[in-house]
Amino acid sequence: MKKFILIYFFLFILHTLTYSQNFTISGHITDAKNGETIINATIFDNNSHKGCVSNTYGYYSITLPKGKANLIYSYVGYKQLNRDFRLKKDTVVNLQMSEATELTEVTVYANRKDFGVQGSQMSAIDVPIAQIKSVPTLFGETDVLKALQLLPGVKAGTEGSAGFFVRGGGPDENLIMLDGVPVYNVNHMFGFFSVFNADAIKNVTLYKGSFPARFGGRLSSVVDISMNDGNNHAYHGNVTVGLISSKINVEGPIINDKTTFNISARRTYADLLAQPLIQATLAKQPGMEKTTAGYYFYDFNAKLSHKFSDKDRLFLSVFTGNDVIYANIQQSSTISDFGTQKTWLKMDWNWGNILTALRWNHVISNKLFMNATAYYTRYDFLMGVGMANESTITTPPSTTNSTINLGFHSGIDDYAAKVDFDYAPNPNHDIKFGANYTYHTFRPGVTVAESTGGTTQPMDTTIGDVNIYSHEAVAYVEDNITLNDVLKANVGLHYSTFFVQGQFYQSLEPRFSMRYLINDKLSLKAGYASMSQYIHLLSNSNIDLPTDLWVPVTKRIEPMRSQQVSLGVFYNLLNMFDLSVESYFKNMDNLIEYKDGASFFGSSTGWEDKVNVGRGWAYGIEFLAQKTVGKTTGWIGYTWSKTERLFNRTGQELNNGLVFPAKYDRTHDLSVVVSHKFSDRFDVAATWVYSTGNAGTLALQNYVGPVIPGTSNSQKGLFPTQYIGNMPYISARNNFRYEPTHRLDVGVNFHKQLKHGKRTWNVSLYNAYNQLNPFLTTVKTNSVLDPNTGTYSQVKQLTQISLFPIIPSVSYTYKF
Amino acid sequence: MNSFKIFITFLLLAIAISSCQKVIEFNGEITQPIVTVNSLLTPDSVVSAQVSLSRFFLSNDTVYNMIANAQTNLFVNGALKETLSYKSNGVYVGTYKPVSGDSLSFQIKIPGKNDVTCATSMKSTPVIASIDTNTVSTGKKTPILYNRIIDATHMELDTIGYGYEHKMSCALHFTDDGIARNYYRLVVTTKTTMGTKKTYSYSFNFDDIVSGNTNNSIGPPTSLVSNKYNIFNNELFLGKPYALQFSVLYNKNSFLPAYTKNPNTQEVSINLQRVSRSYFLYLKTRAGIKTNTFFAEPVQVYTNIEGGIGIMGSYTNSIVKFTL
Repeated sequence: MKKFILIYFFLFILHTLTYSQNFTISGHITDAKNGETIINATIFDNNSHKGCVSNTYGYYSITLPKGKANLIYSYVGYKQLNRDFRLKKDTVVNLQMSEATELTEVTVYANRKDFGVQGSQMSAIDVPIAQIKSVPTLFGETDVLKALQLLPGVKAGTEGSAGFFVRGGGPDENLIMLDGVPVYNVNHMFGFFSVFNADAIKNVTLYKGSFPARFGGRLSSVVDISMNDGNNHAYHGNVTVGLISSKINVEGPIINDKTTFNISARRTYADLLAQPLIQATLAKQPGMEKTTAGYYFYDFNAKLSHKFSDKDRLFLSVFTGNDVIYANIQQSSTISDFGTQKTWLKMDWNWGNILTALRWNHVISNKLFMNATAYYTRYDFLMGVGMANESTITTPPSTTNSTINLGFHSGIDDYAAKVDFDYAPNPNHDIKFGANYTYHTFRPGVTVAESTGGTTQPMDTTIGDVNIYSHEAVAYVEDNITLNDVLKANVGLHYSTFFVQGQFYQSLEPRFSMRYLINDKLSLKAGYASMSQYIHLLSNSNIDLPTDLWVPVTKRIEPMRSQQVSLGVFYNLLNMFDLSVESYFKNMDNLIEYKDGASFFGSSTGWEDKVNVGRGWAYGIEFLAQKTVGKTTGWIGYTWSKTERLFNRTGQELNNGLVFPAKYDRTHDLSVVVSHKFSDRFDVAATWVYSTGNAGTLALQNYVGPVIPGTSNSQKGLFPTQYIGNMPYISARNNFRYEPTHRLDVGVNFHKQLKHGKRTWNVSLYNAYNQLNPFLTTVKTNSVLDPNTGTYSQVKQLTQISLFPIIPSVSYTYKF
Repeated sequence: MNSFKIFITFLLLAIAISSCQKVIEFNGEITQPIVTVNSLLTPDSVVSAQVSLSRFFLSNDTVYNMIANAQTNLFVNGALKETLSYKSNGVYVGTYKPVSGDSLSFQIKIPGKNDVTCATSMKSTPVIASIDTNTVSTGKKTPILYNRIIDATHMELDTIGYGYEHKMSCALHFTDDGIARNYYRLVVTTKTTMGTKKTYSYSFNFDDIVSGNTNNSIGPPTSLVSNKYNIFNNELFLGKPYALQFSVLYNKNSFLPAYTKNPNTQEVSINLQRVSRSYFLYLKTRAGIKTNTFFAEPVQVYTNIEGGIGIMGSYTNSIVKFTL
């Protein structure tokens, strides 16, 4: 490590000294149409052949030698701007870029200069929201996370769910951030929809490996989602009415060119539509007086931004989203001939996130940019069930009342502050450094029970674990170094500490990636990243449940660690196709897996006793071919991969201490995404996915077990004739492969320009050829007719349950 | 929380019903039947083992193939002791009664199959130093009901007495002799004799800390841990004396005067077993078998049979009996 630091400082001083008479051009780059900052626009000097990219806030800074400079500002889908300068002093240039009209409908995908052939970053993909919106989805709900599932190296979980697994990692190993703030529960409706409303989002970047030092805290991926700031020129918005939800987005200036807002909201209304049916069904039951019940989810995004000056901007982001299950039932009945009884049942389950972030951008100097953030993020699961009973007896007259209330509450919340700096001393260095501190509160679950009246004693009891508090602090530094015309590197260090229940953990994680440019079209890249993770998500069902619990590491369960190396070749063909092949090997330690038979379901009590600790590894090759320009765009992604686990530590054995495939180990994953614009009024998109079936555990043999002495059958002896133990024999964990899954989704958009806006009808087909993909496989005994004898016999059959057959959907969007 | 679990199960069921089911072909390897050997040895009994074949999970057979032509050789401390005789139902019985300290193994030869071997060792018998008891009435009273035949077509349910529930709290004192891990099991049997009829109950409350049992009736259902076979190890009292806490609930029956002809007697048998590691792991994993594994990982039941499956385990008993 010492050598690494010494070499870095030597190179840094050498490079800095070579720039003696330099001046800096800096400023913000925004979209001319709506004033939104443009992230990752490329700024390139034709004379020195040096360049930089704008950061998350659209800010750029490039230091060049005194004299002539010819800067080219470019961003895919936008008109390229060319500016000539005679540099005599530091200069501020704020630029507005306009969409290239001849490319306006072109779908742009992963064409960032710092990610593609030219950049040092690998294993990262930038997915513009336009691409995400074009992907046909379940029930027509645009879904950010499901779009990511179509990328190589990313595997979907259960069919239809938004959960994903990156390069052999678990679902809790993905750091998903909205405007730099972690979101703990990213799903609605048990994982079938993500909480991110695409109307509120500007950009999504996925990192699968070679993580820059500024990111940490999870082993497998970082999803960096940026919200729209809001149009600073005029009021705009859109309204969408879909099959299961409606949403609205409004944005505009509060003070022209100074203050903007962007508000988005979405709500499902299946509960409202189903209400008459529910009432009709329940009302048939005798004595039913009042019935309301249902399920819905909603989310709300808001962002305010204010520009104090060219040097100071303030952003306030708010996100809240909840799933709600409710029921309110009132029923009356007669107690023989003596009186009446009324019962009330009220149920209210509510779970979701609240997230608030206040950010301050400050240009300290033309070479140094600062972003300071204070945020609060919270996930809550609240469950309440209440019952009341009123019995009225006429003879002799009396009334008795009783109530029972049960409540359950769990979750996590974070208070955090962080500061990030961008320092560009010269074009050969782009240095990022910063620090952050998070105060975590883990609420592992508390049950409250109250009862009054009735025949039992009144009760007011609270049971559960106490809150766990922890402190997490991080510091990092990274430098994107241009060593020469062909070699570029990103080196960094990420240092993190975690203090919980008297236990202190720390981790120093080196990060490194390098690009070797063979020619303008072809480059080789290599990367290494060390990561650690201090929190776990306790969940062991095939779907995401609101009861899933985040818990911190403990004295017994140490932080998870990983090291990942990756190698890649990147090629640009005819300025039209971006091709890449990446291979990776990831080693993971201190992974947890649930013990045989372990179940959590909302209780963290003694969770350490329900898991075993071991290690795992994943390796694979990812191929991506994408077309980013023209009327037809899209990509083909293919992944060949293996993910295995080994739990062989003494007392921690799983699968008898032998290697076993991870649950989502799938050898082949293929996705094809195509969209074609026929005209301004009509475009089509389709995706086709294929993957090897998931691994599952199945008892392939049954066998006789002995009677256990000292149990209810033991008077019959150890091996009674009539007794059949019928024990399941499981040869190995995850010893069975589900059927492969494949599916075609198709969507068609019909656009029309109206007087005050543009309307779009979207018609889509999920699972267009009705492929029944496996969700569960069970053994059932069915009666089967023998055609020869005409008799029925009982036959055991393997039965596959699928969730989503062909599902058509339609939505209407009006954009103004 | 329980209602939530019911809701989730119901929701999944509803989704499953409203979605699609289809019968699929099993695309994995159709594994051949595996030789199964079960043998639980104790000094109180002659050695025995049951040999059978497992069956494929989609097999429609209703019975297992019990092996009648196996040569079952017993080795004690490495020397061939005897070949067990076949009785019936796949069961082979010998004449030897194991003693503490024995290393026991079987070599089983079945025509057309590879040899199967397994081994265990007989541990020393635990010594119960004493048992302290304290019995109190819980105040619960339940009627003892009897179906009285009135005529050929009618019966009437009569109350013939009452059972008064008592709780007997016990502390079983013993000393662990181990310098390494020892494994134990507690078996409490309540035998009720009414005339010539004997009934056995094996239930008791094993609330000692070593049991791992929790008794939280309000918390989420998964916070309840049940030690089905009442096994434990010496992790908390390695080589030390220990007082094992448990309690037995039983009814003291009081019959109405007309029904006191056959008063019942109750006897409690407290059996502290020292079990082999293989038997301990087998019981622990067997207890974890669940039919619905959607919310839990499936359980691999422990086996120590080389070349086959099943269990060869051993245990020694230390029993104290007394009349209630």
